[in-house]
Amino acid sequence: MSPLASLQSTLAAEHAAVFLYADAGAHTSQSGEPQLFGVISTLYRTHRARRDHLRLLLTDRGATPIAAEATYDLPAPLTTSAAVRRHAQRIEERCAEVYAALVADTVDAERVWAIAALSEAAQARILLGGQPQMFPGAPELS
Amino acid sequence: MASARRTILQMVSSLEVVRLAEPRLRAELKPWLALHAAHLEMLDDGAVDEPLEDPGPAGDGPRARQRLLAQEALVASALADGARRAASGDLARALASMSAAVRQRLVT
Repeated sequence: MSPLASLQSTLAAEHAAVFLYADAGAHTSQSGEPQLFGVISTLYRTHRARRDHLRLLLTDRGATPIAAEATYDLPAPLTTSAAVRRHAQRIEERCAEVYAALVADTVDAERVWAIAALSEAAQARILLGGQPQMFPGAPELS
Repeated sequence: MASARRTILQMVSSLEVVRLAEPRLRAELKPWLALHAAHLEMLDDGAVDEPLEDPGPAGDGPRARQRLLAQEALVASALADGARRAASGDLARALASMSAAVRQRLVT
């Protein structure tokens, strides 16, 4: 994939992540689940910052960043904290995969940024209660 | 690829020294060894590995553990640097994933 197409694909994933984390936050009680609420809030801000950075990278290349969809498919109702955690882990897995692809498709500063984002997504999975993986973002290598 | 493989092999050598000297740490070290084994398998291009440096004495339990974790952090950095420098996108992706896996286990 071209670097530009890969950046757009990553931005699309971050648009979805921001939307889905907002929903996850809305289903997490700040008073009842303060630890989980803190993690979800932090990750929401992280994805928003990455989305904004990707927009800048694309604009710098003279491209028009793709817009977010009007809505995204939401999972089954997030009625428990375990469901929120599982849902957020899936978001991070998806993001890890697009950042791993971005590593392959870019060079220099963009690649360095993608390497860091992949690492953060992998660590977020652990913060959310997930298990470590042999190849985060590249499961077919296992 | 050879540099990344050597970095991991050196790490495995250090882990093995501590595993033999500190039975109490064996359970904790097992997933690390499995992780590095998976990564080494992926990086195996059939070339003969050069001799490794002597990892030195294991040290006592807590200090040995601390030293290993610090060394793992260096491995993660080295793999990330290898990903940055890789000429092949596929290799860069694989090395970045390995670095992320080590970082992931460090926060476990």
